[in-house]
Amino acid sequence: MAATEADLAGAVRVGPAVTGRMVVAALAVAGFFVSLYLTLFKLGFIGQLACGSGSCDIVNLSAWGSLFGIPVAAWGMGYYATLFTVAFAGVHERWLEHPMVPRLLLLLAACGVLFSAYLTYLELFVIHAICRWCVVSALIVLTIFAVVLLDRRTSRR
Amino acid sequence: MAKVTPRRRGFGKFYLLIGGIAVAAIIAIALNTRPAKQDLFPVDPSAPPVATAGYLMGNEDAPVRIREWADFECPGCMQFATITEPDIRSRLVSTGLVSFEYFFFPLVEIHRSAAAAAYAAACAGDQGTENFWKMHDAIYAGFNDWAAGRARNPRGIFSGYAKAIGLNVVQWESCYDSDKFHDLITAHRAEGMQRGVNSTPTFIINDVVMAGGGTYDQIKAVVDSLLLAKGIDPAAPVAAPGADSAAQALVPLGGRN
Repeated sequence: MAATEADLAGAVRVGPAVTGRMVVAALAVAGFFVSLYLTLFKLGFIGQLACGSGSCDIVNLSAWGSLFGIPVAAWGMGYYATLFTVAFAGVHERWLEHPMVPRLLLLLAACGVLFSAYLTYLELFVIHAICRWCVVSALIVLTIFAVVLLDRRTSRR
Repeated sequence: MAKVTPRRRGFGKFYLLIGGIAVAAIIAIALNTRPAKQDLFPVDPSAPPVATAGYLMGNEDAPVRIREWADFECPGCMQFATITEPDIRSRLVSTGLVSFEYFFFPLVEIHRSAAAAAYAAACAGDQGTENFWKMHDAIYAGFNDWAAGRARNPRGIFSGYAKAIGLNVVQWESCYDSDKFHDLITAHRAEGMQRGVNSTPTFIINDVVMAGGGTYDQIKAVVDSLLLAKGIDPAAPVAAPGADSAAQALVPLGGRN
């Protein structure tokens, strides 16, 4: 069966949202592995972090390296896995038009930005040490947030 | 079929991208997943013998001596002191075949409170070598309270440790506020640098340098090889106190001169 004009119009309309969600999903995968790397270090499976002249070990072994007894990086893994699941589901037919998908993505991205901002504040002003991988994670979250915002703006037009 | 074509056109690339990121990340992690950097090499034969005494624990005449150059504000040193060192004390030093000697190596260039912590420990040692070890343990146990910039001036925290371990606090504070141990701390660091110590913790086990720390098993392997080289069976300790009482039975001998 050939595609109808309406189908194609629909495809064109959701195109940017799908692309945006794909980007979010891909970034979430990258963020997940950054968090996995830091978690493996925190749990002692990696003796040294590839951190250049940074202070990844100081930050990760600090009092703020854990939250409720669980490494912050492990929370990050859970966060990115959730983000990936929502974004990945959002590119598929079943969830493509579901109104909850963009809302959830915005909520998750905003929470991620706020938490990353808090962690960056701790690094700069409390711990006085910078973890490069934490910066990478913060940039990933910030990019995800920007993509989600752009998609929402595009979708509303 | 045609309905989904426009939407699915990019899916192949999408899955490829996701898979590519995952594979690249797994490879990168696998390549970086290794034990703590740990290099073994012999002591430079041209280096003069250790002239400055560290803080000695265990049998002064033990056939194997583990010398540690450490920085109180180094996370690796903290991990060693709190995780590995208890085993070293109770399973190696307690046998009488191994002694353990601590040397200051404060990395003042990158650790703001490293020198202060060294002074705190040295001043505790001024009231008895056993008090050095008590302060050593307290400083590492309290790492998260004072290290990495958590305390702009850790004096109050260290003073609290001094009180907790039963030191004469007035005497300790008077010492801490003076430069009494400046020369000793500098000498410890110079001793290390003469032997190529450039990271902490670094161990010199008799004439074997173990840079970048090590696990109990790694240290035990070196110790055993050195004992065997001297014709001593590592499995037959000369003094074997009960396992539980071993740590308490340790009486630090010798010490700072």
